[in-house]
Amino acid sequence: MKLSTRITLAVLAVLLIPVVVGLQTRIDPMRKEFQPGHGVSSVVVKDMKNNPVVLPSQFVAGTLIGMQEVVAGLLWVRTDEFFHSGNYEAIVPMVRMITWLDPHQIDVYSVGAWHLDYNFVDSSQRADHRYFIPAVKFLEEGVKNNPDIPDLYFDLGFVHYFLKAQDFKTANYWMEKSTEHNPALYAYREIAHDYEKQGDIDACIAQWQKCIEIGRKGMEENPNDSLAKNHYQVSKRNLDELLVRRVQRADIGKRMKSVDFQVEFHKDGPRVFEVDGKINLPDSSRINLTLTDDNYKEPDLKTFSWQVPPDVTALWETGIHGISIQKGKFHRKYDLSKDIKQYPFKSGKYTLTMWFNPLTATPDIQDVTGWHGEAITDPRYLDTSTPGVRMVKKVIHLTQKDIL
Amino acid sequence: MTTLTIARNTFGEAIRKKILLICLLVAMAMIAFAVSFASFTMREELTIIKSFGLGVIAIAGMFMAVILGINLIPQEMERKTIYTILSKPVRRYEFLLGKFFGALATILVSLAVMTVAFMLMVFFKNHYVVDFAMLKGIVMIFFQLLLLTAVALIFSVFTTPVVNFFMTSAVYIIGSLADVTESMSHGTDKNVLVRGFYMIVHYLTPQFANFFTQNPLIHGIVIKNEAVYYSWNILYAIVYSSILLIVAILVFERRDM
Repeated sequence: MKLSTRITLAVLAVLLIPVVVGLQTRIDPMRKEFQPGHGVSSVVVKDMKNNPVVLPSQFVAGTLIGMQEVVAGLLWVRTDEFFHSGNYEAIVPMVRMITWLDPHQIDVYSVGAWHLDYNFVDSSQRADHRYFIPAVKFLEEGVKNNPDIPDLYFDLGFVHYFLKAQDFKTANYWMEKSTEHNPALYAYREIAHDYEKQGDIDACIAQWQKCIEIGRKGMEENPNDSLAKNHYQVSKRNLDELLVRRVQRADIGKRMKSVDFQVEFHKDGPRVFEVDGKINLPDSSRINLTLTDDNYKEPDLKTFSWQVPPDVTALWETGIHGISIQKGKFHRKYDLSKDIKQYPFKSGKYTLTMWFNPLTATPDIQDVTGWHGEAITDPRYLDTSTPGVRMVKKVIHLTQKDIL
Repeated sequence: MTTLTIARNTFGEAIRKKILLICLLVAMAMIAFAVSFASFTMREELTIIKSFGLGVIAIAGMFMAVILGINLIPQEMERKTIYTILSKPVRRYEFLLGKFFGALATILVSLAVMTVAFMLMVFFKNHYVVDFAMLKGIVMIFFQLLLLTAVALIFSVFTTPVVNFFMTSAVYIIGSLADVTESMSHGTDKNVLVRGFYMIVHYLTPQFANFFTQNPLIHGIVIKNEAVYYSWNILYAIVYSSILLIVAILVFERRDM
């Protein structure tokens, strides 16, 4: 080969280098848009750096050749084994690793968030409230990475905000979002239940009517659609019941009576105490209880950390975990001495709050109290701080000495 | 014409190589194995089959490209056939290009065979619907292998096959970590020397990670400006391989034989 040809080729090779660099500069942002790991919030990345999960070499090889989905599937199988063996602590880093490898693993987001919110329990099977925000944040990340999947929106609304936090307004926001993506029919029914829990009966009636219409359309399109038929029948029955209830409860405010709420706190020993009291309400009504550090504040969704603060105490017993009333009395003993890690009691002062909320009560109890507590009054503990709702609430301020 | 003749001979010789046939058979068996493999997972079976199938094709193709690439020149020199060929009116660059395209044709045929097996598997598992989107992934794998073969060829001009194997593998691994090298080349919190080093690595090392489009394809996610993305990548593979071939030709021309 002639020298001049060699020089020409060398110059050509050098001239092509900027072309390659230019192409790579254009490819990079496009690749990052869809590659696994993109869309994972910076807090997750930071947390993964602090708590790294070491991938076995065969998994590393799998990810290197683009088999992330297979690796994620295998890790999920391993995670399931951790579930069954009760090794709950190991699950959190696993689900984060899986969704980092493959951000489209819907059931990992769904089950992982449920696990965070429900499965970190103390020796008496009480869930650790401190994991609520990480669970929500994890699912929000799932929603961001899979915006067309209705299940994740619904999970956020129903499993976490409706059932766990009983924040019916936020639950409604997420469940309504799920309806933009063609969810299962029960999502529409849960929205109706949510409106009732909010005490917005007009919106609830409108939602049941919408459900009936959806069911009717489904049956028209396919007369053998058993899901549509069931949806139609259930919605119709629930609407009928609601309309009857509305008539029955129309003048419930005129039947107002004092529930005469009384609460007492007794210390039995270090970290062992009892709460008991009286309330003039039907059997099976439930009293909610929270015992938190005096300055306890729910973590902000914008500033939350995956690291659950080790010094915070937040005992949380609400909804179906509330204390049941029998013959006008309630009582529960708490032995938190076995769960020092979950309830460290490191603060100097604590707030014990106990309340009855008519909005979260079952329909038979609401027949007595009204949806909004219209029939409730109390000489000492009536609380009307929530607009339109009359509940009873007692706040007891405790010191560390009262508990330890 | 001479290049084509050498390419044809290289292809004919390579396709009869036992190691490549074994590689192909193992890959086919693994694609079939994906069915039972998927039943171990709780994830949607089809997702695992697609991911595993495309992964197997990528890894089998990678092995073939490396095995073929690292032996292209050293084998001819060992057998001393190169001296006979070059004593004829055959230019060195024609010989080199012929070997390269012969290897590429072998890879292309092997990919085609594996693709047929894979597409059939997906067809049966996908309720008898052909998933044409998977072919985009195969095209990307092919251009990734084009680049890898060029990398192996350039090293084969001046190193032994063993050294070449490790060098090509190292380049492949570094090139598969585009996310890491790219993020390390940015950010004010990093040392300027570190950033500079990673910038050179990121922009001058062949970025094999560009061709990993399996995840969005498997999950049915549409890549933004998909046609543009694929076009840039194909162009990237062709231009980068051209640079490598030019350098290989220049080195090969100067080599004493």
